[in-house]
Amino acid sequence: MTKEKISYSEAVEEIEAILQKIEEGKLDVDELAEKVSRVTDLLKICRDKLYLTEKQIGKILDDD
Amino acid sequence: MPDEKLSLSDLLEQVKGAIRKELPGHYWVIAEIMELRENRHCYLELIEKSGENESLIAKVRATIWASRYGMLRPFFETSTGTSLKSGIKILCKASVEFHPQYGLSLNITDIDPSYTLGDLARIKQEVIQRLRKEGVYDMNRELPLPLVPQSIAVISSETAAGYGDFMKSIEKNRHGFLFQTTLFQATMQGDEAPFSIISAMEKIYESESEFDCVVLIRGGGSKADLEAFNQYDLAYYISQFPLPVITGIGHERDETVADMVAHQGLKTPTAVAEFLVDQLLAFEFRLSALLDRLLTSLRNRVQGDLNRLDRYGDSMMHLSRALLQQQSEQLRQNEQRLRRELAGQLEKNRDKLEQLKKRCELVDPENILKRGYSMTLLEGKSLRSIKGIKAGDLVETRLFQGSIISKVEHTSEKNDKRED
Repeated sequence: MTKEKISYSEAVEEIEAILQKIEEGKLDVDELAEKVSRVTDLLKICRDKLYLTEKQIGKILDDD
Repeated sequence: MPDEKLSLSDLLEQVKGAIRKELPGHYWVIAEIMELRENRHCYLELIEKSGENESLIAKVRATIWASRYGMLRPFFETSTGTSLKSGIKILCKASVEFHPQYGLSLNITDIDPSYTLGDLARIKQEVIQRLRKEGVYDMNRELPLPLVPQSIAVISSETAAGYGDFMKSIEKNRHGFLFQTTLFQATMQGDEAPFSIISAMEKIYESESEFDCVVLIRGGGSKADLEAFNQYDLAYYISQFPLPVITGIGHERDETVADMVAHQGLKTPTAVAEFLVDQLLAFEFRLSALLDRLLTSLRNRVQGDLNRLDRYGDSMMHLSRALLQQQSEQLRQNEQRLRRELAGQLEKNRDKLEQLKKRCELVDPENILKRGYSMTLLEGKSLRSIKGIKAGDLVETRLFQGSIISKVEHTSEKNDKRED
C-alpha cells in the first residue's frame, strides 16, 4: 500500500463516519468488508505516524 | 566684593558637616534603580520619576558595600524572585554621605524586599490589565491544540539544563512516540530575554505551518530573573502568536504573565514533555477506542445476522410443520373419501351380485327340473328343436332326480311353446 497523506483529524473523522454507518447497519456484506479494511488501514496509518520506527529508536540510543 | 573667600574644599567640608548635622542617621527611601554595577561592592544610580509623565525628578548615586551586599543580594533575590537590576523599585535604608571629592551618595545598609515584591506585583497586574483591555489575553489559549502535537518548535538555550531535561523526556518517552523538535536559540535570562525570545518566535513564524506548537523552556538557571516573563512585549507577542505556546519556565512561585497568556503554562520543562506525551497517549487511546468500536459493531452485526438466520430457521420449521399438517389432513380426508366411495361401490356391487344370484337361481336348470321340467340331450347337448334328430337316436332325458335314456321313435313338428 502506498503511504497515504492524511492528517490525524481527517483519519479520525473518516473512521468515525464509517463506524457510524456500520453501527446503523446500512452496509451490505460486500461494502462492510471493504469499509472494515479501510478502517484498519487508517488506524495503521495513524499508528505508523505516531510511533518511532525501530531505526529511529536505535539512533536515539546510539546518541547516548 | 565678598569679605570672606573660601576654598572649594573648605566649602564642601562645610556641606559635609551640615549634612551630617541636618540629616543624621538612617532613612527608609523609595527609589528606582536606573543603573547598577558590581564588583565586590555594588554601585547604583537611583532615580525617581514623576507619576504623570515619567520625567526624572530626582537622581543620586548609592553604594552597597561588599560586607552588606553579600548578604542583601541573595536575600533580595530569594524573597522577590528577581535580581537587583535596572528598572526595579526598592525600599532601602540609607544614610546620606557627602565626600568633598566624590559628592553626594547614599550608603545603603538594608533593603526591604516586600516593597519590591509589591511593586512588581502591581506592575504585573498592570500588564495583565492592559493585555485584557486590548483583548489579547485569552487569544493563544483559545487556539485549538492539534490533535497530535508532534512537531515542536522549542525556544530555549541549548546549554540550559531545562532544555536537556525536556529533550530527554521527549525523546525517550516510554511509549515510543515519535516527536520532531527544532531548537530556536534564545537568551532566557536577563533584560535581553524578551527581545531574544521574540526574535526566536519571529523565526518560527516564518515556517509556522511546519509546527504543531511552540514550547518555551527555561529552568536550571537562576531562580531569579523571571521578570522577563512578566514583561508586556513578550506576553503580548505570545498571546497573539498563531501557534499554541506551551511554557515550562521552571518557576516555583507565582506564574508569570507569559504562563498566563500561553496556551498551557506548566511549571517545568519536564512537565511540558509529559504534557505532550500525554496528548499522544490520549490519541492512542482514542485509536484503541475506535478499534474497539469497530470490533463491537462487527460482533453485533454478525450476531444480528446469526439471530436473523435463527429466526428464519424457526419460522421455516413452523411453516413446514404447518404445511405438513395441512397436507396430512388433506391426505386423511382424501383417504376417507376414497374409503367411503369404495364402500359405496362395494355395496352397490354386492346388491347387483345379489340380484344376479337371484336371477341365476331363477334360471338354474336344477331349479327348473325341480319344478317338474326336464331337459333332453343328444350327445351331451341340450335339444331345443327336432332339427337333426332322427328315429333311432339315443337321447337322454334329465329329470330333477335321475335321467332316462330313450330311443327316438319319431319326431313331430307340433310345438307346445312357452314363454320364459
